[in-house]
Amino acid sequence: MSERSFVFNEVMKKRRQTLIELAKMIDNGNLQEELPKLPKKIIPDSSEQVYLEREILSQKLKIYLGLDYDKTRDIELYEIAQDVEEFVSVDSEYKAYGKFIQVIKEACDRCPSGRYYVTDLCRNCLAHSCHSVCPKKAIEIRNNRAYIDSEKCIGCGLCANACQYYSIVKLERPCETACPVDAISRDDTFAADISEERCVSCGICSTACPFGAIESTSDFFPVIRSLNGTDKTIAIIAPSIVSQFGPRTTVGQIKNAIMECGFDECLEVAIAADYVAEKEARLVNEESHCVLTSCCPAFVDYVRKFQKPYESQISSVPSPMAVMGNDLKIIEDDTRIVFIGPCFAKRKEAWENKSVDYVMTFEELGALFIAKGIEPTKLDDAEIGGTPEGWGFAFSGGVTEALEAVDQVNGTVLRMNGLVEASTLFKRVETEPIKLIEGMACRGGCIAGPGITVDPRIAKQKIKKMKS
Amino acid sequence: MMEIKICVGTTCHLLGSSSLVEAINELPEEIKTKITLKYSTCFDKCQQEMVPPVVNIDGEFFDDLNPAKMKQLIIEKAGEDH
Repeated sequence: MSERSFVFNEVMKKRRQTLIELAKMIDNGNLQEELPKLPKKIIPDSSEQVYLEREILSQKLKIYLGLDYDKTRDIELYEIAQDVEEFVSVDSEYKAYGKFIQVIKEACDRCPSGRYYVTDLCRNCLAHSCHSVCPKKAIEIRNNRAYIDSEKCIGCGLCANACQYYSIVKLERPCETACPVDAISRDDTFAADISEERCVSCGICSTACPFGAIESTSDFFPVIRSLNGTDKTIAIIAPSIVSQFGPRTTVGQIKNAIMECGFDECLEVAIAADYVAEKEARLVNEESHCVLTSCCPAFVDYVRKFQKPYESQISSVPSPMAVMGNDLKIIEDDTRIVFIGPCFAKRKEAWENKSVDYVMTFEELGALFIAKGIEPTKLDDAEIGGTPEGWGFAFSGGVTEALEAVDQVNGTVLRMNGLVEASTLFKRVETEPIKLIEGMACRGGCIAGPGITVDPRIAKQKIKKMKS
Repeated sequence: MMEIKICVGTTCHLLGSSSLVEAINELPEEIKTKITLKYSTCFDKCQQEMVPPVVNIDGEFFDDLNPAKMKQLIIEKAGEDH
């Protein structure tokens, strides 16, 4: 089972630099003066397309503040800064309610897709198979190479298959190709457009876009506000946090760093994962039908939207985040619970089941550490709870391992490593007796989610080590 | 031997220090054999004067690095030694 590849790139770097500065402003309470200056601070004058880049960053900042891009697109950053409390307030008309993945149209490069293109590899051979095979006579020879007339081309791809030099390629949009549920199309300006009916908020498109045009609506503002306010604020940390803050940082140190940020308590969701494994292992063997795991919210959303007949077979045991959040809500009234994880889809889960108040990514937590001048490697190691199996919920295959540690599953288990595999696996459920589907929307599991800061392969090694 | 210490403190980690290891993997063998690579916790340089990620080569600090800059820097340093 492979994990998605992870490369640290300039888009990530800019986002993190921006989040660090934004965290400082929210923390210091000087957004009003400082926010409008931020695009200039992050994008230097020497930048190639300085004004466009600054405009893009202004739009991104609105999304990082939890606002709705469509409703605030034409509002200037200084206007938002002046009335920031009003804009981000609980019942503000500008907030992005139920919209967790947003496209910044200014940033979208409107890259071509579905079209075939002849590259420099064309040697203008004698055979001209591309020309012969084309059913629409769309290929002619121009400037000593084959040329495809896009007016005539119907995108059948026969020419690409016929070329011995592999010189004809299909141009594809990374976001469209990456989206496992075909939720991305084009609006009338040819920019990427997400269908809310299809989108499962996995965020895979966001990691795929090389222009950083897709961002997730953030709870950064209310979280930092809550830390500085009188309300009790509790952090609950996802199992995939292991190894997120560098090879020298332990989970115990991360916990202490979270406390230094001003959280009143920090609890490991792995503890709730142990409870879920216990309950779910029993459920799987009691039920006569195939059980679908409930821990991945994008997978659950996928089943509801695309595999309707199986919706009732989603495990009745809530996700570890929901179990822990709900428990804390019973014990502690008037507290704010913040789930810290790698996931965008958890934002949607939290919005729907209200088990936690806010969701923050590892990237955002890292930015908060830096903004507050907290270096986890310098802190003591706190004790951590949960079994290695509970922590193992973080990678693809780990949930099954945890269930089997409780009780052997009597039957076939399918491990869905990424939503791309979903339709194939559900076809097997139709014809074969399947006992359990472990559903993970991200290839590699949560350690490969959109909010991670470390290569999933490294994260997996470190979690596996907990077991030995 | 050239001693390279890459900071893997949180700030440098978040701003790309892990990608610097790639630069070392891509170096020619004859240079690679002359390098000892270590991870270091925070050098306490990034809060004020230096831009992360920060690297220490034979006692000297370098900042604002990316894989390409890092590669260039090591090749230059290896040349000086000869």
